[in-house]
Amino acid sequence: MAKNTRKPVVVVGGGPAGSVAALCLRKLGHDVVVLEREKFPRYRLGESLLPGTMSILTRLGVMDRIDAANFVKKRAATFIWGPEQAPWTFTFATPKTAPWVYDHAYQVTRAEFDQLLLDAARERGADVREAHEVTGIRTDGDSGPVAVSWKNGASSGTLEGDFIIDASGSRGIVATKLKMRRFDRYFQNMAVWSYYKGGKRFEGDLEGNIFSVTFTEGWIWIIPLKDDIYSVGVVTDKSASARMRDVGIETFYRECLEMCPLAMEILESATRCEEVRVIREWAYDASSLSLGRAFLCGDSACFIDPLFSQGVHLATYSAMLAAAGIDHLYRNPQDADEIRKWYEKSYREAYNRYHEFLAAFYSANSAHESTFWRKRKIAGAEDSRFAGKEWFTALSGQQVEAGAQGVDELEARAATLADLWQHSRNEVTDQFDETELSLRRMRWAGQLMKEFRRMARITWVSDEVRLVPSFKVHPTSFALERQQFIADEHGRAMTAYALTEEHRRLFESLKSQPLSYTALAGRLKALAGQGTPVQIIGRLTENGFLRGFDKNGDPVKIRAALRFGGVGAEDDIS
Amino acid sequence: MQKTDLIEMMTALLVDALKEEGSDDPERAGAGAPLLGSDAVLSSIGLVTFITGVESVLEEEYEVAVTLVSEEAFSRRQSPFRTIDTLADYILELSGDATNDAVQEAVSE
Repeated sequence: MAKNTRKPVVVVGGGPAGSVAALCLRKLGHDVVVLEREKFPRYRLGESLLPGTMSILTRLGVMDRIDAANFVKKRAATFIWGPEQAPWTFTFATPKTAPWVYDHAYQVTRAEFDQLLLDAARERGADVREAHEVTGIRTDGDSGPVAVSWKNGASSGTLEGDFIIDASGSRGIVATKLKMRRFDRYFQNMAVWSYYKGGKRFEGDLEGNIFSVTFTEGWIWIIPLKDDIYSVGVVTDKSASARMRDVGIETFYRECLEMCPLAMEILESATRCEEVRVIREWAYDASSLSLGRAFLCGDSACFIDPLFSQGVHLATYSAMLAAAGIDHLYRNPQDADEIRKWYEKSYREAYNRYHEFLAAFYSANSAHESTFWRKRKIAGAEDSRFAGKEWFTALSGQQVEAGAQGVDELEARAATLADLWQHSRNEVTDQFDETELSLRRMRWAGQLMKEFRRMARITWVSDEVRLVPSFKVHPTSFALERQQFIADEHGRAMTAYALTEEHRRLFESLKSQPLSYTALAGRLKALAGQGTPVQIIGRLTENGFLRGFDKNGDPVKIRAALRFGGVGAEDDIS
Repeated sequence: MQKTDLIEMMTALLVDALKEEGSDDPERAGAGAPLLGSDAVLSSIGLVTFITGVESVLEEEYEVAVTLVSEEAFSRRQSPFRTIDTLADYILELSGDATNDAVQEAVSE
């Protein structure tokens, strides 16, 4: 595509997905027009962020203005879960293996946070047009939408673009107009929330944490925001809307909070300072995450239960992927199919990982007796609500020999994760010290290493060891790089670490000459590539590529924990 | 076995462990570098691997066989794994016990 014939990339929506897409594209040297329906600042829910977003923002050079905004620093998420109300803290602590690896995020006021990002995009040269509502998209046959119509008061027009990024949020202009949206049958929530001024604040290692506290009919988020404000929301089953209609929204909200002792304790001296709002939080995805020259980012593509605060992370992560993909296509238009497949796979994997994680977490810990919790118990391998979900099909049919065992295994991994987070005291107090979690993780790591070392023979499970090409986004330039990943003949690949032909040959040799863990780790250490030996062997074992046996020939089972995106060093960098 | 020798040996191993995990700053491997808690310089797997490496060197170079990662260590009120410095104290304590046991056994025989 010659420079002088280029049109801009049209970004629909100026929330975090749209702003990050615009920032990435400007960094990569492309013209961008952002059409935002509202005039900023505007209200949004979704205040609790993950470190993965900080990582992207720092690499885009905008973290200084986020740091300067005095948002509440979030170093962990604390869950008060189950009938016993046991406290678990999922800490973001991670070794700083690169300047962009973050051990914290922020609890933000979205009106301010979103404006900071949109202003940054504008300052970097994006043509940001607020109060421009996109009313339609033009599609040219199979090539997808290449233009949008807009309306600004009495004015209207059409804007053509080389590419479109749909970051229009839950409106999902492409997905809804083209009937690509698919609603989820497992996650069907309703959220009722408001804001409180004042209230008890925790100190020490609980300071700044989000609290997610279960009660009989769901769970409650308690998020400390700046200016002494708490965001407090109730997530319950959609079927509770009948009760809410009967008693009124304010009474319903109050009744739910009163069922949660920790919420009452924190809010004892606080005063509600805003109206009570309600939203039906349908989870959904889209049948395709790109279409022709349009890429769906953030909530326009998919949304899922907010328990792990992943909304803004999926938005900014997908925006980064889409921008990098578009940049590659400007230079390599012949790669269109390959890039669309890569985007689809990368974004869907990130979404699916949350889907799997959340379903496992709810199911493994649904100990309350009520409609909400009964509905969130996975009903074995035949649970039709997961029909067509890739992670569930893999779990219940392909990866594990017996489907029922697959679901049990999933819940066991969720239980392992919960074990790693559990406080040593059952009270939520300022005396909580993250060091106690370090020791739990260390004990688990010690057991894991012991199991690895028991492996006298490690074999490659399937027939073939392949090296397949794919892309990764360069952490600082945001350009796509071609890299290679280990895969099997079924098309499954381990994409956490880019590996080489030497790695492939080593794994190939395991089919005829199995090695002990120690010998394999030693051989891997001598090879150049991403990941440490234990990380590579761990991922390949967890995902069923490798299998280990002890000296008696019995399989060695690894007690793995569920993985969680958007945190830590490994998952921040695509 | 002097504490300064132990610290020197463990610092060198920690530099290697940090490099292996891709740390951007292996110079952080001092005697007081935090090994636990929110500022820990290694991952939990990295820490266990590092400590196992320390056990190997103690056995091979100092002929001291100790198990550092144990329930006894985990259950201590002040964890011995906080820093290289506290770990060195713990090794000296354990090896002292080991020596005493050996002496006791010799006396018994």
